[in-house]
Amino acid sequence: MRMGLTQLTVAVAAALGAVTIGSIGVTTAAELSLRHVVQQETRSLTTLAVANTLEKSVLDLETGLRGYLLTDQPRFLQPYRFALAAYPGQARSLKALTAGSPAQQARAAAITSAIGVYVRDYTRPLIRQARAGHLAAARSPRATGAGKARVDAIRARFAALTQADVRAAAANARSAHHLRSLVLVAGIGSMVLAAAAFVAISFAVRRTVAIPLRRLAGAAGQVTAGELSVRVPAGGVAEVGELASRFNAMTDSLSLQRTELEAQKAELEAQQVQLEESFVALEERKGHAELLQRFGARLAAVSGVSEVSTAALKEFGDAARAEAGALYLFDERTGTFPLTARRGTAAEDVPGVVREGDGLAGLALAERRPVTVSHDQATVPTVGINGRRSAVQELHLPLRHGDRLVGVVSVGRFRDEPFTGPDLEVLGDLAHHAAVACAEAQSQRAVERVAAELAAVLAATDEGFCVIDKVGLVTMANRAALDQTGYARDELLGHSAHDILHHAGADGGPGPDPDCPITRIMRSRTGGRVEDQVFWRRDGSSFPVEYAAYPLSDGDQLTGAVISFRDVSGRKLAARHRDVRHAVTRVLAETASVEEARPRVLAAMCEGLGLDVGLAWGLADQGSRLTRLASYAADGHADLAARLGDMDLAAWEGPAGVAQARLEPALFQDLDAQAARPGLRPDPRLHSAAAFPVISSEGRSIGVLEFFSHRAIATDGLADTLSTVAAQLAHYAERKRAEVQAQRMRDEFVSTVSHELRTPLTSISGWLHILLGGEPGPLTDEQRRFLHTIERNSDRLMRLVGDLLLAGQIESGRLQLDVEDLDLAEIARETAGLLSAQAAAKRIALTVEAPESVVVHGDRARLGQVLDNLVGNAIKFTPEDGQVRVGVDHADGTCRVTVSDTGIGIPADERPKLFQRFYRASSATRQAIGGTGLGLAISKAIAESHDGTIHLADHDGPGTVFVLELPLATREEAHI
Amino acid sequence: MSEPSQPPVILVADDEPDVLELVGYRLSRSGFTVVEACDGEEALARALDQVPDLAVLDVMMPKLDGYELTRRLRSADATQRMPVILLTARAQESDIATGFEAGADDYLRKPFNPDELVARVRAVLGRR
Repeated sequence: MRMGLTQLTVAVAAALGAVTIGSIGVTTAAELSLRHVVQQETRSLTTLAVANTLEKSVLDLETGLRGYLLTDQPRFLQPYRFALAAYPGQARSLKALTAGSPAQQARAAAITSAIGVYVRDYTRPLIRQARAGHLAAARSPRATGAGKARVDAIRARFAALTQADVRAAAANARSAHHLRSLVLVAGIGSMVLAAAAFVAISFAVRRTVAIPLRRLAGAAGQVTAGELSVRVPAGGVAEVGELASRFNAMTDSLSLQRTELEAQKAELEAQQVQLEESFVALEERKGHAELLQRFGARLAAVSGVSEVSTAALKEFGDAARAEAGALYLFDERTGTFPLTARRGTAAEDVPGVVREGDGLAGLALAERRPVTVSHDQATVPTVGINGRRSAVQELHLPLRHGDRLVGVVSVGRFRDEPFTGPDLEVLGDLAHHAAVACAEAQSQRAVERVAAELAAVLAATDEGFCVIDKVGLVTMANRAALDQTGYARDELLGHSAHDILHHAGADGGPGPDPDCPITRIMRSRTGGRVEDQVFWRRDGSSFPVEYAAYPLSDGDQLTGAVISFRDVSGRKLAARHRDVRHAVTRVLAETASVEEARPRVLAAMCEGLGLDVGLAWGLADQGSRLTRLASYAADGHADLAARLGDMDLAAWEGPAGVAQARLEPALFQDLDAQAARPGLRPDPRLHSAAAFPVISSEGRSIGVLEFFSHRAIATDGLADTLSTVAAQLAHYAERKRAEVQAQRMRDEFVSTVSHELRTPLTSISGWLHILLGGEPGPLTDEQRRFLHTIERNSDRLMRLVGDLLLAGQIESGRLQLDVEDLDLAEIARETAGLLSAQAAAKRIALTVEAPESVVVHGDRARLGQVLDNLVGNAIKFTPEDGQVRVGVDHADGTCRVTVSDTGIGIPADERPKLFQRFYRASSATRQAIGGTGLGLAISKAIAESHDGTIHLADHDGPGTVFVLELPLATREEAHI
Repeated sequence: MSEPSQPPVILVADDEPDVLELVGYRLSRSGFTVVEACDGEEALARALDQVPDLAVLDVMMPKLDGYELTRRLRSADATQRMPVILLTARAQESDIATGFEAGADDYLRKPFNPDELVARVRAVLGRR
């Protein structure tokens, strides 16, 4: 077991410590002795000083006392007093200083005691004696001598004390010298020992510590230089040996680690290579991203579908390194993809429109994938870009935005460089960007188009539109809104719609905002319509309005409302005017003549338009004057109407005269009485007037209508109504005139026809009559029979002419009756009498069953004609030996004539047609029974014109029964 | 009828020769002296020239119709009181009224019974 560095150090330190402690001990002991000696010396000196002070005090006592006694002046007693006060303290100090030496202390105590005695027994009694006036005694030599003796004794004691003290001090000094020598010897010895110990220690340390450490340092240097195989011997002190072995272990470990590090380094180098490759890839990606970004920026810099698609195609072509290109965008309206941009091609070289599945671009669209083609390899004829000429490589990429096909872009390279996968990757991204940009541009265009259309609609419509925000401020107002309200746009925008347009109700009362229907509608979140309210114009007037409000919201948030409104004052007035026009039309339709129509037209217009007086004027004196034809007065205006209408008017006199002179409507508001009529006194009921001429189609006035009102006449629509009514009246008047003329022409025609027919008949029947009268000469039977045949047919022709004329009259509604009270029974008998010959010719029994008299109100000739027709028919249609019966009776105010026969009857299906004009029963035509087919129709018309009827009675048995019913004149008359 | 030996002179006017002849035949056979005219103007001229005792005038005549002819006769001094019978083929009552307003004394619708004409002529002449 080697001695360790610690043990070595401890041993060396112990040796050095022992030497040091020894020298210190000797020195300390000497020092302590020396200090004691010095103290003794000091004390001796102090004792001497104190003793001297005390001795001086004793001398002060003696001298002070002596001075006082000699001079008797108290001031000489002063040193005595001081010394008397000081000496006890000095005595105590002396006592303390002498404490170390009993001999000295005894001497000090004796001195102190002697002083006390001197003071007590000598000085004080002398002083008291002197003060008592016994100076002389005090000054006596005995007294002074005694004192001197005492003091000398005390001073002797002091001398003894001082001498003893000096002796002690000398002894002290000797002791001190001895001690100093001792200390010097001890110091030198210890220094020699210490130097020896240092040399020994240095040697030992060099051998056991420094050398091994230097070796170690060298080895460490080698290790640092990379030489890891070096090892050091484990010599030296224990710690150094351990250090060496640790060092060896460390180098072992280091060399192991170096091996690992080299492996890691190789790996790192491999990774670096990879990193560099990644960096290259990243650079590519960066370039790609920059391309996309630039592409996006270029597209963002332009707007409009055409510009965007052109820019997109240009960038796309640059990126594709393609010289030619075309871009097609979807058109919703046609469902096709028209060409919107091209590059490097002429318009005729590319298709103007692409359809899905049609051509290469169409294929790309249909399959939603890029289509590339090299024209060398193309196996099918394709419609490429740039025709069939020069694009050797083509790429067609669909432009997709989500699932939506936005369009297709076609690019072509003129050189033979195929489009590669990376190309397609980059271009696919660009295509996506282009699709988004084009779709946005299209959307933008669609939005702008809609916005433009909306703006145009808003500008064009006559419906007022305002948009308000949620607090009711106007944010938009269209032209019609401004027109209707009279505000400028700036005066509405940003202001409260309610406060401006809707602040008060129709009566002018305030319309509080919370009650406002617009507020209510907005709150309800559903649109609504409001009628019967007013809006206020800028000029302070109001107008009736109909409006609708529709809330606007953004999600759940109410953002405002749209108000659409319309001024309906015109419409309300228009409705009144329309009603008036309809009323006039109705009047004209219902009346048969202008005379009948005039007052009713005036009434309809006054009542409809709220006018008080209406006058109709006609022309007199070849149109130079107006004369009143009809008038209307509202309640309370009859007198005014009479005054206004009681004179003829010349041109320019009154509103009617003005209208007549101008040949156009005249309107007077704030009418002056003189303007109403010359010389008329003012009347509060005369406020306004309107007049208009009724102008014929030839442009001539045929009359004037004139109206007066106690309030202003609303002018809106008045001109229309007046012109409409004037036109209606003119048309009506002309129509009536035309009707009259037509009637005259018809009468003329009837006259002519009747003349033309009757004139030859006059000759025929006249000459027949003369011949049959036998005047020209006698007739043979045969001649007479022939002439009778001619006469019969002549009569028939005559009746036919009569019937035709009558039918014409009936048709035109102008059957004229010569009405009187007449006895129908009598007429029946007369008719039977006239026809009895006919009946007799067929051996028909013709009977009349009638009361004596049945009176009706009617035209004798016409009713006779009816009976003649009925009975004549019965005879005609009844075979020989038959019966014809005429019955007349009356019941319940009705006279009833029945004509029944036993003839061939009328089939049921023919009965409804029997009374139609020109209808002839089948039996009549079959049996060649003559007739015009007018008889029954005329009979029916005559019966009806007498408020009667004629019909065929249902009856059992053969034959026919006709029934004529007429009202009796009166019940009383019927019994006359 | 101041002188029975002198038969009354009747002016007959009709533009229709057949009717004119018929009326003339009937009236002359009935003992009247007949003056014929075939239109209104001729009738007026003859009436003013010969002043007949009675005129039988057709209404529908050219140049001057029966109504106007009657008015002219009524306005001329010579014929002011001369009876006039109108013959009319017109059916309307208004025509007859017009005839009376013009100053006719009677009327007869065509076609007429010649004997009735003679009766009317005699009746009108008898009134005077």
